[in-house]
Amino acid sequence: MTESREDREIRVAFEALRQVDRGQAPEFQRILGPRPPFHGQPGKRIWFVLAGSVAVFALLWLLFDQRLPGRKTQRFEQTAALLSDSLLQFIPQPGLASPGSPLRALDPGEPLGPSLERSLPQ
Amino acid sequence: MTDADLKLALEREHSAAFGWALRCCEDRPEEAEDVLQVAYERILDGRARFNGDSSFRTWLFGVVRRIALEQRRRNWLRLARLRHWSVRSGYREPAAEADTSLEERERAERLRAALGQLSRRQQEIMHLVFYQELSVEQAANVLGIPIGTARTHYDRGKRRLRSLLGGKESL
Repeated sequence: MTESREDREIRVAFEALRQVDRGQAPEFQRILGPRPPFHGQPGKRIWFVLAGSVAVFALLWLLFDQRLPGRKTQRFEQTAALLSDSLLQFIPQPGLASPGSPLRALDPGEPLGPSLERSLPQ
Repeated sequence: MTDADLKLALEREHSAAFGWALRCCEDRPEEAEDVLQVAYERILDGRARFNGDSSFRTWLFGVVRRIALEQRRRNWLRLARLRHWSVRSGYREPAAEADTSLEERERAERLRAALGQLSRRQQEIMHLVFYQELSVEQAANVLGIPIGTARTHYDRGKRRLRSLLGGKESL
């Protein structure tokens, strides 16, 4: 069976492509050997570097924060200040005003409002 | 087949297998290398086993194609990004210049462009028949399709390729 002219032309073109590809072909042993990490995966490399940077930053920040003088105690004092308020130093008791407090002491014996008789019109 | 025999057979087919892997990876050499490496690993550690039903080359091409498809499915997002980047920057893989003449490279480039306009199946058939010099039947075997279907793709692909290549300038 004779090959048509067009078939031959296509074959010649493919032969050229084969020659070009052959020049790019890696060595057989290189394909069998181990590949460097992230070979042909630039995206993964970027994510790896980013994650590493974040981890290092977080670690440094933690270390730095602990070494700052008074950093931790300052945070403690903010809540302690609430407890040291004069109003909270004493447990409120009926009939006794807190010392220094402008508030009147509660008298459980006294009526809470004006009596009904006094409030009625005469 | 012993390990040594397998290695020898792979080495013998290496250049052709790379050409096929390139075609399966849409002419991206880095990916073709990855696909080949996975294929060789699977063959050498026995996960892909040659049982002698077809020629070694036909079987190897089938393995390469399957792995290329797996990789493509796994990496579709990354590939889309790469494709976008290569289109925007006009990047092309550098062609090997040592052993090929300018004329050959131009011819190869024209063929690549023409092949790019065929359907995926037609591209594969054309490559297997004209580049790898397999018969249409062997090509059908590699692609896992009936011979009749392969013939249809072959005829249509060839007709289209002829018109694309011979339309304005001869090869």
